[in-house]
Amino acid sequence: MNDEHDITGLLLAWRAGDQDALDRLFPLVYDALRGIAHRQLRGEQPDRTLGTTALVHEAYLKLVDQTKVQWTDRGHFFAVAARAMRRILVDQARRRGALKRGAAPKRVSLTDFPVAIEERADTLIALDEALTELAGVDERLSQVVECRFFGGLTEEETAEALSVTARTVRRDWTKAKGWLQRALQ
Amino acid sequence: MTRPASAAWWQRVFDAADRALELEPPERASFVEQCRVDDAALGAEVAALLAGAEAAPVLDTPAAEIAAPLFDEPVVPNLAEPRSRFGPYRILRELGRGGMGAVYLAERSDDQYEKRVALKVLPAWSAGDDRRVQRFLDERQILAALDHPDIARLLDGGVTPDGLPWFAMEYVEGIPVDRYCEEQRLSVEARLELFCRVCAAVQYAHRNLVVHRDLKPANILVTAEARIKLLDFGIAKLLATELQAGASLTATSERLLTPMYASPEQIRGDPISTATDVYALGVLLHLLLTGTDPYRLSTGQQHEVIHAVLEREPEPPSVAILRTGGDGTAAKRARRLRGDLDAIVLRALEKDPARRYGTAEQLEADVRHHLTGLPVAARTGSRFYQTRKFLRRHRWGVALTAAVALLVVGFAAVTAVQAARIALERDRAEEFIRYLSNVMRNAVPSPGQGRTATSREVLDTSASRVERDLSVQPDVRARVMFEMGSAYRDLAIYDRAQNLLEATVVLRRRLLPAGPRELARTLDALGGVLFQRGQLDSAARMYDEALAIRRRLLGRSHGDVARTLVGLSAVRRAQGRLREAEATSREALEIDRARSDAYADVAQSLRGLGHVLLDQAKYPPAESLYTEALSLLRERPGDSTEVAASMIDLAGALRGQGKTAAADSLLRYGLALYRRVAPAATLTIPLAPEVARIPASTGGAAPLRHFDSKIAFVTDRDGPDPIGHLGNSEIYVMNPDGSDQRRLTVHEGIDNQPAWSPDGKRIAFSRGLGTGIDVFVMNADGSEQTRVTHLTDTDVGGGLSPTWSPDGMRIAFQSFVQPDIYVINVDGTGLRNLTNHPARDFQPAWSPDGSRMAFLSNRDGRPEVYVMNADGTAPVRLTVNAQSSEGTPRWNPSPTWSPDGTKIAFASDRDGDQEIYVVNADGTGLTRLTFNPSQDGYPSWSPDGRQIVFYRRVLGHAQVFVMGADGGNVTRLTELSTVSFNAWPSWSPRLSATRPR
Repeated sequence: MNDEHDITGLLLAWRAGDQDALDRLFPLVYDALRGIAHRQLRGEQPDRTLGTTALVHEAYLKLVDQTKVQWTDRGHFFAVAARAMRRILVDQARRRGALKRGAAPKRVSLTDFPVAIEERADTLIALDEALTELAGVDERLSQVVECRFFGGLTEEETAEALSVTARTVRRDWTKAKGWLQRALQ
Repeated sequence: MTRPASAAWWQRVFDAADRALELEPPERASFVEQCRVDDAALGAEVAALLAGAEAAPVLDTPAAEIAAPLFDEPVVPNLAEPRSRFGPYRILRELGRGGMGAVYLAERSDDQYEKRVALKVLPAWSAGDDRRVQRFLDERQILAALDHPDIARLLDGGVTPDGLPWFAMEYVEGIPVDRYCEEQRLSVEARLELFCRVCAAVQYAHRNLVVHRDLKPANILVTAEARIKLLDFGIAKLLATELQAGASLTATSERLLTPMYASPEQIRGDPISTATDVYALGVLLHLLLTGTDPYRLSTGQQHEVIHAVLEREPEPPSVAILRTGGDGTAAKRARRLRGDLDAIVLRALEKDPARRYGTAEQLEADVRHHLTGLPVAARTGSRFYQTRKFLRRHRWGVALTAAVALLVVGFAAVTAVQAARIALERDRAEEFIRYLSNVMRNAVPSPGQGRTATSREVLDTSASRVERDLSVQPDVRARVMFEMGSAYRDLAIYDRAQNLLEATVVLRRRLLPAGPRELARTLDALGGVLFQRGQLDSAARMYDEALAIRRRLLGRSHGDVARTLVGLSAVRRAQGRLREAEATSREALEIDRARSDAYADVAQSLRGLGHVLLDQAKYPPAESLYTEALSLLRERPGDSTEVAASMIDLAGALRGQGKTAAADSLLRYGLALYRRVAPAATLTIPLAPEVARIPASTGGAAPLRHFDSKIAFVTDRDGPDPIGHLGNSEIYVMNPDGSDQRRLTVHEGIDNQPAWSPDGKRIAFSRGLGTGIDVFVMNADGSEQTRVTHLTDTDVGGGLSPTWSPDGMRIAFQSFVQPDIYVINVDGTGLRNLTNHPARDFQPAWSPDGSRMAFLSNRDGRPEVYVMNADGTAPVRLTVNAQSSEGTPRWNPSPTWSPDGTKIAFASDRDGDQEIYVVNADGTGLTRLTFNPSQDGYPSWSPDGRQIVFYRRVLGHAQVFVMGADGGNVTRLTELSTVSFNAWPSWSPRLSATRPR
């Protein structure tokens, strides 16, 4: 597939130092991942056999030519894919939660699991906005949240994606969670 | 949210947090304290940050999982879109939008009636399914026939050509009944009157054989003219057939019912009846009388609600009102509610539908009796009146989950008594449960150490840990130690019980200003333990102190005072101080008799006094006391050990009067009953001295049953959550009657789809490894878990759904990324793609003779069951319409062969719900086996082909069931109290008989 070549090529280019490659990479990953997400999240997989975190991994398998890339590129892909997942999920949340536009912003809780459709949409939207604010304070913390929460990556994979140690990821995750919890109160 | 703080400020906070996170918890706490001292604002922020990180469990769920239902629902039409007409109705504006579609205000555009209607548009079906359309229309006919002034009429409805179902209902403007009562400040009588009208409307529908199924305040409106209108009658049923087509499970369960109003049988997936509506009316009545729900739920989390509805006793309205009323009139309102209204509500909320009012009419009648001052059936018929206490499980050798359940249940019973300090209670409750379950989870031995964790082992490990752990809040620690001490006492391990309770007393004395009641309770419990150990003087001292505290705090006529008096009287008896013992137990009895609804306690006091009289050889009065106690105890379910002990007591009193024949037969009966219900050797119930000399038999233990096969299954019950569990999926094994459930795997990821090898010695399964999924094999006892496929990081992407060849040398499985059926040798060599087809092929099943393989494929469009040769040639389709929807099936058809290779069982939703079917291996003779509104799947045959094990899924949990191969005799094998996901059962072949168990 042409796309596949492009994505693999862009990853290689990025590794070689081409900064534009990232900008061109994102929309491709976004499109591909959105298709996968729509298919997977509509309940097509037998339930509970696989976590929904398999999305990013499935995308990686499908979109990247494994014979050409190194493991560092996988980390880069994960980083981009996590960001794409965030956009995809939040966009869908906005689309579904659309009707209450103009109403006062809802209070969202991070302790009680959101059950109804509106609550889920509101939670994701509120987290997205808070995350943007967090990025202004400490960008890596927001990236960790993108990877762990939106991308569903493990600590190790997040460490790979952001080129830091797993211990750092663990501390960052705690700090970010604490900050978000406070921000949404 | 405004953040006045700058990025620089936050960097300081984060740096401090980093340093804090480098430390272990004890040092971390002091570090944070130091920060506070140095800079109050910074320290506070760091503390808040660290605390906040613990309080955000939603973030630990992957966002994709939260978002999944958002993708699931097809877009409901907006006004802006071309569709604005449904039948003869024209949409005016949108009224609301929820999980089940949208509601619009519409009017008839043909000007025939000019009536305004509420038009409900539901999520789209896949178009053109005639069967479903017809069913929908049939149901609609029945509902449209309901014609009652208090029921919003279903006027019309249909399905548009492109598959959108819609209803037109009488448009009702009003507010929910509970809000109406609040806003109008209605008196109790007025609320009851309103409630009676609701019952009458429901009764009308019941007479027309329509059950509402979803009664709740939002569906019961009061109009401006103070009319009642019931909405959405029977819609839930119509929608049930609807939603299976389109929704993922969580979406289904959240939309289908409001869990708080769901009756236990609805949650269990049992048949619905008019009593189901009675239950919902009970919840409603409770709400109207007290403003709160019957189960005192703190979060709205679904599994907590489910657990409460299935397992917890509802709180009587007179007690509930004491917590909610803040205006000083609470005590007066409690008195108003006590008695009749308590009894009516509790009867409507009985877990067993047979014990409730049978119809809404009976419920209404009893309410009217109360209003007119006539006797209320719920009270006078002693058959109907129940106070069921929590049963503490006494059995030895019970696995971990029972131990946790025991402690959590014990805790719940304790908190039932606390009336004040609600907010603090809730925080402490969560902390308690979290701490406790953490402790218990770490006390579970890994499979290598011996798989069964008995109550004793878990308690021992946890208890010693708790005693040493100083990092937790002292009052939480005190409560944990109290519960553990009580658990030891119930298991008759008195030395440990004494240690823990004594430690609790010490702690609670230190916390005394805050909790004299807890101290009294601990002293009382400790007194009982010391009594059992023969330390009578110390026991008496404990009771004396507890008595003093309780009398001072609660007054001389409180039930708790009576309990302590009973304990003290037993001690005095044992010390030979009979006059004091008699006075004490008489006082206890007087107190209990004066209380209302204290039947169990009255029985206890009666027996206590009876023992003292027996000691003094006053046999006739002892006899009448025991007789009264026995008759009270017999009315109550459970606690048969007390019934048996009372019989033995009475036998003693009869013998003393020379009525030896009657005494002997009663004694024989009582002993037999006692042995049956309490097989453990120790008698922990006080008996009169004559009969205490009769040794309790340890014989008659249930003979060891031999099973020739086992069932493997998957469950997430070993999770940290004490109610919903929510652990990783692990593989368990159990006997075909559900006994002896043991865990085989311990893994961070997801272990699933167990499959027995034909010789029964090994089990293949799939293991999710985070990045993918592969096939593993282990011995049937869980040892030597080896990985067979290494496909996760390849193009193939992973393997799952394994099935064995009859010689046990090869495994067929399904690949992950582009599902095909593969085969591989068990040693990992010889990987071959059997189907290699662009369409999705999955869930292979090897035939018992090795010649063929069944599998699922959507190569013809929809997923159907196919059979091919074991080398991949000549695939033939067996079924038509195995799955009613396109794409990968939502559930697992999972075809499986009967042991004689003539039939294939599989699951399909062709008739609406997921059910289990059987078809001959040549495609003829399709038969349906299950008929149940919940989802049934993943069948597996017993070795003799006479039974099938499968799992059934309802409202957020799943249980393993077994049935005859003809679909009869459906029995549940896993405990409902686990409220966890128990699924994917697999029946082993016949195993060698020499298995020691």
